[in-house]
Amino acid sequence: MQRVSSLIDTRDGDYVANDLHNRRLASELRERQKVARHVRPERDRERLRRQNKMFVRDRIEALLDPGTPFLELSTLAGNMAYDGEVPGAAQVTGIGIVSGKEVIVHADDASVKGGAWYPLSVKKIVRALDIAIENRLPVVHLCDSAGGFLPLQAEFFADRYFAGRIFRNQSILSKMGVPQVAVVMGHCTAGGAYIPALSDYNVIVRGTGAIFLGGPPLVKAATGEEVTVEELGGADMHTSVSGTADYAASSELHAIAIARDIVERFRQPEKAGVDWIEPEPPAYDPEQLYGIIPRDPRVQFDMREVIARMVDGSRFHEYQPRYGQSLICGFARMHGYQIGILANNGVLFNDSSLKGAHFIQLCDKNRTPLLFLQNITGFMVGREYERRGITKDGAKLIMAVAGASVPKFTVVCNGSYGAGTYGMSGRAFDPRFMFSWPQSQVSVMGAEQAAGVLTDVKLRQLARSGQQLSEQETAAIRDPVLEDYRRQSSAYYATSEIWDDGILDPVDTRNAIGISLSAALNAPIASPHYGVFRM
Amino acid sequence: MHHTFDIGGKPHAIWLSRSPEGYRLALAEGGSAAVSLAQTRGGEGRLIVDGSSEPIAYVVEGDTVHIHLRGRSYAVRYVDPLVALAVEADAAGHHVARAPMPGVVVSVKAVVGERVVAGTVVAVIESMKLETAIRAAQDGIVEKIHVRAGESFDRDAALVTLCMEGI
Repeated sequence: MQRVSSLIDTRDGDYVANDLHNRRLASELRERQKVARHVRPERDRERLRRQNKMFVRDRIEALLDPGTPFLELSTLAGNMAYDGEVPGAAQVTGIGIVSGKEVIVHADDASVKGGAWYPLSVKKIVRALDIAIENRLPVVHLCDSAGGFLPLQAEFFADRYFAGRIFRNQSILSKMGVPQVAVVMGHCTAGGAYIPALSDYNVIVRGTGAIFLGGPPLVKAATGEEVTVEELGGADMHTSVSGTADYAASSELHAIAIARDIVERFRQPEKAGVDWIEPEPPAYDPEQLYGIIPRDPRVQFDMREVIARMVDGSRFHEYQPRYGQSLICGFARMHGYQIGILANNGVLFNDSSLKGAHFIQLCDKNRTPLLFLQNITGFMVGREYERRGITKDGAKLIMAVAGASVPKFTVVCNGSYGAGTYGMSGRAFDPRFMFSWPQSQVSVMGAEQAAGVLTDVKLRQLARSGQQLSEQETAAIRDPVLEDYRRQSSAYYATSEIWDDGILDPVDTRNAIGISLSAALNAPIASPHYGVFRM
Repeated sequence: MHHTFDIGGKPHAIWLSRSPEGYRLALAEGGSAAVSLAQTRGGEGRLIVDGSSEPIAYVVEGDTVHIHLRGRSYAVRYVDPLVALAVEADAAGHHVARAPMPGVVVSVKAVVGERVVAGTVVAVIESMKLETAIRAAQDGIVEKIHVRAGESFDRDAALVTLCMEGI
């Protein structure tokens, strides 16, 4: 395979300015992640110490095999919700290695509001279990939650993808033969009690762990019965009397050692047959991505330069290089795995849409996972393009994206707008994993355009009633819309709402995709089959 | 969670992981080295650490490996976290033999201050018409006997406390 020959000049003024800008964005990301992971009010830390509990990060470190990578997901979930008071949505999820096996880790963070489940906590847990189902990954739950945050119960209790989905997903995993271990390190009350109960294996820590449908105060209120935590749902009762829990542990570390021993026995599924050779690092330094991504998101850049800093040996076999050039398609290897890449080099035209749909089917047929690198303002509009059938050509691309059986991975590198988001395997199209870069933006259209449309509608309404607005009054309508729109299309908002699986420092993308690919191949890949393509 | 090995009474936390060259040994406190064992014949070989090679002789005996290296002998014992951490719940360095079911003490076999090895019968109890021997789970010194012959007890009652320090 041919190496991409880069045209980047690292001494160029724009390169240097971009480099500075993007390094600042990356360090801001790292700082925000550090705060979400580690910074807690001292009283919360103190409470954990008093309860003889480990901090969630220390629990996970003890659980994982030393020196192995942990791909944490949605670290900044909830960062723009609940006044920023629920870092990580009080949950830690990710893919890690336990006793040599790839697993999903799901841990309540009791240092945030006692590990209470907020609406976004529930969304994050459901997403982690969806990942487990789609990729057949065993799950280790580290349970320590005060229960659902009751004032917001309407936003996490009853709907299809709300809290019930956690237990439904657990049951489906069990049905699929994908094992789960729950370690009860705090109280698992009400719904939370079903997490250990629905896990194939569970371990409970003597003294701090407890499982009950209603805690002592609720029992007292309901029936007048006075009962201690230990009697009602402690380790000894559940492991010797009720059979709700399997193993009693004398400490959190002991419980983790037991969980590791259980996971060690899990059978590692055979990886789906995908072409793999010895990996090789990219020939171009991935850090040069900082200089390549323009500081102004509206400036176009060549995605081949990005691909060259991500794939093995910077080698890229470009498919149809002379046709539909606004969508780059081609084969490369990522950590040794063959992948098919679709990357935007401009707006989607008729030919680029057809090329994309064709390439997806090609990859599906030869069992090659797909990587989408999004920088897309949308499909081309206008009379000429409609006459050529841009809508039906876009529909073909969407049909192919939705129907592909091979695993898909999506990275929002820059812009992701309108139907372009759909055609490039946005969240709704079930990519196995989806990540964003710090400066990226997702929305139905660009902020300026949206604010323009909304202001225009308002002006016309007023014009009908004979009113006219001054420049200042127009700005007063437009600016708040623009502000709101910008906020809600930022990567930080998207990740706060769990529209993706996390924001990546661009240089980490290669490793994140490598781990995701390896995880995805635990599930068998179905044969290619599609719906009707409108020809 | 690292693996723990005991060498001369001192615990060492380490982790062995695969690497492109073979294996890497990492120490919990930091630092790592490429390691391999070139086996020349049973029980003897060359230990290669970061490229430098030393002759080594070893005998595996259960969880302990006896090593002869550079004119010195070492006993390297694997400390199973399932056992080591379970004990931690009792006072550090102590292990309490507990009653598996309610019953009556038939006889106490252990004497305070006595050295026992894992498996030594420390007491015999009777419960549900069955006599059960309570054995030391670990090597240790009998520190306290909580019951006397003829006494009845509940499930999980402490029977004998062993001290693991100084053995």
